[in-house]
Amino acid sequence: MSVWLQPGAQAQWKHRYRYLRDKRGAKPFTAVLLTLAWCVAWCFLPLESGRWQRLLSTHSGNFAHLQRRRPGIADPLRYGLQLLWLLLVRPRRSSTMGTSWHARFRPLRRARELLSSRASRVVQRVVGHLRPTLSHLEDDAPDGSADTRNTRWLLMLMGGTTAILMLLVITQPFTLPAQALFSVLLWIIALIVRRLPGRFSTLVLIVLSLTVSCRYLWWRYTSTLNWDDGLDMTFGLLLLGAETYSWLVLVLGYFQTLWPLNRKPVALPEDTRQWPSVDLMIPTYNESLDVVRPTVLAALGLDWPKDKINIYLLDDGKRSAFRDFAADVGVGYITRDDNNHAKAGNLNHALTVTQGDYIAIFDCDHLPQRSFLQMTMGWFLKDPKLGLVQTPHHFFSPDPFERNLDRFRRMPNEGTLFYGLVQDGNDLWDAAFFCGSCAVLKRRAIEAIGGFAVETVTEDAHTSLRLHRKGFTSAYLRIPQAAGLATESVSAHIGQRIRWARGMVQIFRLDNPLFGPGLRLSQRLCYLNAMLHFLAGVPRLIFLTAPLAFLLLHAYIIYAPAFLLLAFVIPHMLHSGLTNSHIQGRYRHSFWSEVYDTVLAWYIALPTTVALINPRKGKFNVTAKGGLVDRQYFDWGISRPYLLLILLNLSGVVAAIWRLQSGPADEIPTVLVSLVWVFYNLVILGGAIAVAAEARQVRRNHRVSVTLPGAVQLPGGYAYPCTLQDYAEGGLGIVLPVTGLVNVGDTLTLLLQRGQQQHAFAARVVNVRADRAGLELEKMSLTKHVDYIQCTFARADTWSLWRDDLPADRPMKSMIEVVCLGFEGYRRLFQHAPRGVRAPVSWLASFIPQRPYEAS
Amino acid sequence: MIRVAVQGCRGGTGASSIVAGLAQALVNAGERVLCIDLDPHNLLRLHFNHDWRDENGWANAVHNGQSWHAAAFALGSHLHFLPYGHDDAGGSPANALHADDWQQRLEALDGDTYRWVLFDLPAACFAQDHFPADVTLTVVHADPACHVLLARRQFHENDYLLVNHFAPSSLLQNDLYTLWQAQYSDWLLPWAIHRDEAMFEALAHKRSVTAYRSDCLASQGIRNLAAWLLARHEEAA
Repeated sequence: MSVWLQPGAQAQWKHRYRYLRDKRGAKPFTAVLLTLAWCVAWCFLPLESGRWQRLLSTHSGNFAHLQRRRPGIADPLRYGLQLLWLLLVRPRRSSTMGTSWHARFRPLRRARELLSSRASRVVQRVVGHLRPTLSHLEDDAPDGSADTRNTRWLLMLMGGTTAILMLLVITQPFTLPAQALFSVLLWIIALIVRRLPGRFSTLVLIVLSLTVSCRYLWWRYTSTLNWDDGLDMTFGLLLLGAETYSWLVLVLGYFQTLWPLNRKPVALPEDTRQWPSVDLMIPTYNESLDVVRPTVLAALGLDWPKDKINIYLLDDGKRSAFRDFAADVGVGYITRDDNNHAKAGNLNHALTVTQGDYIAIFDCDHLPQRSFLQMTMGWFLKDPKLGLVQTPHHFFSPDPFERNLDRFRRMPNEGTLFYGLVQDGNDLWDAAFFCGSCAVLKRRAIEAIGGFAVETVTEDAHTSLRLHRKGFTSAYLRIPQAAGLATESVSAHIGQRIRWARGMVQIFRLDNPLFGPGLRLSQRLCYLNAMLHFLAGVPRLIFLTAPLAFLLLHAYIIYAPAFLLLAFVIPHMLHSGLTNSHIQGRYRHSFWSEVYDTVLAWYIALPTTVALINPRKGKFNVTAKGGLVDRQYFDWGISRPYLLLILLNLSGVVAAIWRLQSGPADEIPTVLVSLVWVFYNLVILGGAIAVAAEARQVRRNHRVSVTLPGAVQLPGGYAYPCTLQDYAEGGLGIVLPVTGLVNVGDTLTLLLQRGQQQHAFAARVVNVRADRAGLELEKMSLTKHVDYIQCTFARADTWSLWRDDLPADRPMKSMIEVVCLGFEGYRRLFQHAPRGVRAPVSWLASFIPQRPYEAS
Repeated sequence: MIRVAVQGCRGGTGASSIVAGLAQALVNAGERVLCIDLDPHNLLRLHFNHDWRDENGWANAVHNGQSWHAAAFALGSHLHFLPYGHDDAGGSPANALHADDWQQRLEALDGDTYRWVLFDLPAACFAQDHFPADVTLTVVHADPACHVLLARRQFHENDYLLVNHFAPSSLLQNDLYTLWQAQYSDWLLPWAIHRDEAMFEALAHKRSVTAYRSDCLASQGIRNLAAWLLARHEEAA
């Protein structure tokens, strides 16, 4: 080289090469090539001149993202693309971005404000007219105790007329403009009505939604099926079946949640001698003693006369450690020779060796609060026919959805809908059912039905179904009186739901609530809906693949013009969405059901179908709890079916693009509608995928976040008040009033209050950060341990953790959230993808030009 | 004018410390307070950073024929205190606790001068008459001696029991406290002032505990007391 080049140029070359190799980390080959390319450029451009240097330095910010990455062979192409891009776009303003964005939408916003103020004025006027009537209606209890013969006739007459009119409205065929106008009118009514307070508006919304949805289904049945083509008909009927299922669940859901009862506790008599005796049973099989111990200790602290309560540990694992523990703390220990019928068999065996009038049942990881019995038992004394009082299952720890999506206590969780609304709604119809834990049952009632039901894997719901058949009533108290740990991982969650689904379908087959003696129609419907809910798997899979039938196979599954379809289906979706948001908004945000259902769909589809065909197959699998997700990982096994569905939907997108380009013009609207549907499916599937990325969970003992007053006594005799931030089995976190009070390794005494009682616990400081300290409890004697559980987990105010103040549902916001969640899912998928997939994708992505920020 | 009398169930229960702390807590809440030491030990003044050699007080003043409030001191604009005083020659006047005298003396003051008058009474003894006040706090230790003394005690209206130096880690204290909660539920205040080294250090620094270390647990207990008194008399007003 020295032959051809001047020494100065040679030094430049070398410098350039070393810069690429050492500073930017380029591979030798790449560095050589890029140096050569730079030389070629240098041949034609005087890069060393001051003007060029200035130009390069002022514009280097526009290529920042390229300069950050390691140089590659294709870098000239990347720079070229970015250069082209720079010619086309304006740079982003770094700080004033927000205002300009707002400014651009100002006219739009003003129009919206004007409209909404007009609308709210109209609503105000309507509400003003209606309110007196409404308040009159609100006072009437739905049982109509005072209705006479005449009013009943009148009601029946009115009901009959309305039904005929309704039938007319549902079956009347409309042209496209008429249907559109009709939909818009109903929608306006709905928008006005939903602002009215009270239950009346809910009823009106339900009627509107029912009208629209029934119309839709009627139209689908009568005019959208193509009977001439086998393929069309097969897929069409499948979709119609799924839609009919959804419609049925929607209607039954409205019925179930029409009027949540909101039952209050009943006071017990002053004289504790009249209080009945209770056997508290804690069935366990393979859970560790660490999980069971706090539950037993919490049970020991229940406020109930000591001579009227017996606690039994029902150990199907027959473990000597449990026997010793039970003897140590002075609770009964019951075991049996066989393990037949799992939990139900365990309880049935315990019934034969105990005598209490009532049986309280707690899963071994549900810690009862001290007030549990005093809150629940009053109703038994008031209503002699009462066989069961159920309370909510409340969880200290985030469920897999909350943990993996980082939404713990930021929105209603998956169980809130059931325990917050559905059971409360069931209660009106005397159909609140047993959920296996946190409940009290009357022994006489259980004996009357021959013990806990053993035929299915969900013995709880089946037992309460039998109680109802025998004429016993049930009650639901919507006040958390126990709390436990949520399932650990998505796979465990799915495993639990598979069991529930299988069990409910087994009941559906073996002891169908629609038939058989002893039930009222309302009870039959509530049970039916509970069971139908678990059949959602197959219909959900149909919805996730339905548009592909057209896009891939060209089957006309809905044999109707696209615009007519929109005129029918959009009102159906809007009305049901609005009404459900109105009813359930506090308990579940819009669109989240889609994500929850989709995660389960694939897994419950097969077991429920099998159970539907052969209900006697299937065994009881125990839900794993108290485990540990020790590293962040992506559950590929769980998400495999969803990856398949995603791939199918992506192929649908490709097919749609192809059809748009080369298909007949009159099919374009249909393709577009299908495409929107496919994108919706992709978003929901992305949400399901996001859940599969398991977040890390480092602590074995779950910390319960609280804000409780406490105090510490420090080694020197100083004492300070503190605030308890979180607690767990073995340790606590506190906030002290000033920093620097404690050091790691100090031993101190923590003072906690339980009622009027003060308890002192020896603890060691394990970490300190500013005014916060993490404490580890020293080994406690048994009585101290009971005290500790009483001061923390079993406090009577855990209900305050039941967040009724969560943000209310805003359907549009919720939709945006779910869409973001969908994207998040794909991001996580990419993050956890194997290198072989990730590398080419990110290589391709590196060519995408980026919009630079404006230099300030 | 609300008169609060604080008296130890026996000697050494920390009644003076509580008076001083309470006075400071009330002042912090914006109240005007007068503290009067009726205990011949004449220790209350030391909580207010008073020169310990200065032994002037109301008792000397009265004995020497001066006005009773001649020896009063001001600590800031809202807190005034009146030491008992000590006179080697004269000894203590027998009528230190003579309630009627104090009634008259206070009536002579302008009604608006003080909202609160705190009396630091000497520890209770058998012959003592009941000192009438709007609130009488008897300071007790959760120990057997106080338990016995309490059993002999006659409770009047507006009498309250306040547990001081409470240590929940002591089994005995906890048991007695629980027992008293049942036995004296009408009189026992629903919180205790915890044993806290800061309480003793405060006197060593010649300050009240609420002024010396306002964030400690004992100060919190005394603030509770002040808040309770304020709420109680808010209602009355």
